Amino acid sequence: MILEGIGLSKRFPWGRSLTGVRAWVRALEGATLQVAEGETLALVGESGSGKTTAGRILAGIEVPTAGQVLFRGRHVAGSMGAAPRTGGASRRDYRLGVQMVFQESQASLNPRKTVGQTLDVALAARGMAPARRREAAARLLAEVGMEPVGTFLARFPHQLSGGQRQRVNVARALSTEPAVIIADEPVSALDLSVRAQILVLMERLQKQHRVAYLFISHDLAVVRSVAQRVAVMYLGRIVEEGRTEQVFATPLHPYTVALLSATPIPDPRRARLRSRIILPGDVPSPVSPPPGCPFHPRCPVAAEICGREFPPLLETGEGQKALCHFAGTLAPGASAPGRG
Amino acid sequence: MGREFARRFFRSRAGVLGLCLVALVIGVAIAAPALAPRDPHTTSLVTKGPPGTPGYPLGTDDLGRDILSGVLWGSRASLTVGVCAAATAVTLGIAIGATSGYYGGWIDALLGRVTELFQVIPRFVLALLVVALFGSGLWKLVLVIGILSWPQAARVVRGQFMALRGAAYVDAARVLGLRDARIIFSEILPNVVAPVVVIASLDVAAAILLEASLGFFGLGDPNLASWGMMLNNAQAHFRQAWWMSVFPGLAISITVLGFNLLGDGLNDAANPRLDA
Amino acid sequence: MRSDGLSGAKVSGAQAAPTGEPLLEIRDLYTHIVTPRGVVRAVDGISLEVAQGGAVGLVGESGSGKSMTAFSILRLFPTAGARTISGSVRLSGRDLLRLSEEEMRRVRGGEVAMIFQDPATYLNPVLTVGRQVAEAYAMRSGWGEARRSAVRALATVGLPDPEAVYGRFPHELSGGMRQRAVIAMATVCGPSLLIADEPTTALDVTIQAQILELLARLRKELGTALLLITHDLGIVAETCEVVYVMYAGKIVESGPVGSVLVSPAHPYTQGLMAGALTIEEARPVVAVMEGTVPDLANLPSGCRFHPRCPKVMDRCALQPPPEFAVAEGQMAACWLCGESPA
Repeated sequence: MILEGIGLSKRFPWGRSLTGVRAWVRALEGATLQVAEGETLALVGESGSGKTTAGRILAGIEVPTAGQVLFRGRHVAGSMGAAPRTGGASRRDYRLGVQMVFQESQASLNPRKTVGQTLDVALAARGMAPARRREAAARLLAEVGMEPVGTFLARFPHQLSGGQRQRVNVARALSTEPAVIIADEPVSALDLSVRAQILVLMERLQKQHRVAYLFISHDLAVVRSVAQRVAVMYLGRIVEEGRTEQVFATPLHPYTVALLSATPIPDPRRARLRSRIILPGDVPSPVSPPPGCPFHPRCPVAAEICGREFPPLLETGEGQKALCHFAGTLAPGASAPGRG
Repeated sequence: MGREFARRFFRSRAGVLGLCLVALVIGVAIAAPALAPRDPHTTSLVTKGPPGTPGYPLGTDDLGRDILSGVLWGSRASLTVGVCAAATAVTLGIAIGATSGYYGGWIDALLGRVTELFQVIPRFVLALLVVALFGSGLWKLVLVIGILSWPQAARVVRGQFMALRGAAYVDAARVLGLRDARIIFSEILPNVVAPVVVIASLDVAAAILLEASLGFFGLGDPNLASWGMMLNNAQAHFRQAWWMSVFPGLAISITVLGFNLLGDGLNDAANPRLDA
Repeated sequence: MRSDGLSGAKVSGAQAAPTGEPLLEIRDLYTHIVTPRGVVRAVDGISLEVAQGGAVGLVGESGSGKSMTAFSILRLFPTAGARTISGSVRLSGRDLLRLSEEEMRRVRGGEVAMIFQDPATYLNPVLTVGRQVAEAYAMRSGWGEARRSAVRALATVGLPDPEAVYGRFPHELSGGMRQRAVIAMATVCGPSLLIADEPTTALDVTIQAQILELLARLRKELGTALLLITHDLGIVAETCEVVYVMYAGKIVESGPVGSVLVSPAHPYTQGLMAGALTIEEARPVVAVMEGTVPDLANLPSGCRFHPRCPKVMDRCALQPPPEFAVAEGQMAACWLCGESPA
């Protein structure tokens, strides 16, 4: 495993008063994630599921309240500025080895810096000599398909289109030759045709550089095409995990089944045949999650035990895991003939 | 971006007028030795000569010193104090505001209280007290005024840092492992320059006014020809020689107005949304 | 109770058009925006029909002009300088572009209602939800009647305990509930046409499913026709009967969803479908189209898609293609689809 988060929890204070913190937002509740070398692990879920918090902790932007982060098997979690517990080399390796691409292409580039300056900062962080940086920046831009390189190096972010900005973000992430790139909804803000271009680019770079992706997304259709493994999150917990084909073909957790059923299919012939599972209500507040199984108030197959007891982790022989008292009882809708 | 800013700035008449006034005052301060007909400290037998007295276009004071030369030379003292005190205030403001806004938490709470303390104490009274206790002098004035004027810059910088410390590009810099100092100075600070320039301009005006007020109460640098000292001197002779107070007063008004208009113009150009 | 919801339709004054005639008929609509950069040709000669009680999808990327089309129908422009230059927008036979401002005000929120992407921005935070839902109705009758209708509308959109919700403030509702409240606001007067501009884009997928189901139910129960503006082909496939594909201010392809999305004729639609990903299979991601949507103030000559088209011919840069009939009810504006106009 190249990057691991073991039992990660994160609580944010929610409303302070004179007597202290009034309540806590439980953004993440003991999530364990493992990214293998060169693979794409998708982290899917709705807003409030904790997927972004998990990504930010693994990227070292947030510090977990509990749990630890391991990079190449070595402990790296700790406050941003604090001295690492296991020697400087490992900390530096982690900093350069794990990079991030954000959803908002505009906000993730400093408006006062040209593309060239942005890449220069990143290359300098890696310790490259100033003389070699310009050439390296040009090479990076060429790699992400921004040509002619010369004109783009001198541009400011507001002079680029959304797709071009996201290419620059990918180039910056790539500049430290990372082993893992955490991509938080990297294509959600982009138009359809541009989205495909960025996904193709990311796929090509993965093959060339053997970089692993933690692909955070709410879009299951994209996940199906790009990820080898999927982890589904709900209210700060990973409720299902497995190889992509497994999870999409035989989802075990009722929430995964409902998510798949709620995702529109762009083929009208198939779309009409489906029976949809419509979950009632909203995702509960992470300030006061329901007792027992966090999903039980919306679950179509919930029983009395679900409101009482936290569900066990069920693991199939093929390595698919689900956090549910009744894993596998809710069958996927009437789609999918011939999908075995 | 700079061109767009300039275009918006030059569209505002008040801002351009402010720029012209400021340029005028700076020009006068630089060229004072050449422009002033005589030494501002040299006394003569023509005491309390009214404006139009031959050789003394703005008249003379009770010791026969030339008012015009005093006003021209006085611009140097006022500008020096104003600009240096504002620079001190803005530097302090950036340091405190950036620390407070970037780190947040208890550091912010502590620095916030300190800022509030400095905001509620009456600046003028404290300045009077300090000067009265420790004596006056150009650099003492600069330091006192600067130290008493930083809270406004600190508050603006803090607000901007709080907003920008969570920006995705700042997160990206953290992921690259950049040190906090590097993030503060090279990633965030350049994005905060516009409001800081506005504050600096307003601070110059306020500092000039404060210096003149101290001078008026006789607490200015006695070795310096300053507008405040001229006003202080004019107090006793106000009924007989109005020109002793009017011309330095006018000079103060024009300078302060100039910096204020410039600050407003820069502010409007930096925040185009306020147009609507 | 549900049938009571229908009674609102009486107030709207919508007259049922003779069967066969479309409810909404847009012909050669041009809406341009004058900006310092030049004239942005946001809607550049489009024609579109919505049948009584029908569901029509208007699909396009950002900058295609799809939202501006909706604003043109309501004659409400969010941007200064936007103006409809020519064309007609007939609702039940009446040209909305020729109505006085006062008459148009009655149409908005009455016969035609609109909901938007972000429900939060269209609710006033200092007024109760109920008051805002009742408002449009109160304009046409008294507050007592308006209150009853508002509670009914809140029930119709599936909000639990509508009496209680009536007195709540927007911030007390979740995102999904707010969008339901906005839909109640839009439908309280029983409109004959509901324009929904990316109504679910800001919502989570399970909430999106709830809202799409609600829109389908309102269509069935109240007979409200739906003009759904979206970039999501999946949503169109699941909710609409007819689809119009818009590119750079023009309709490039239209027809029954079953034809256009299954056998697209225009290379742009083909590109969209080829690039569309689905949860049903792990398709390889392909970027069929290079580049981005053109600047509407600086459009390419001839066919607007030609610089990005994989099947471009010499002719495409010279002449803008007319619409050709390619199948039953399916039209495409592409030189590959015929030699002479349909």
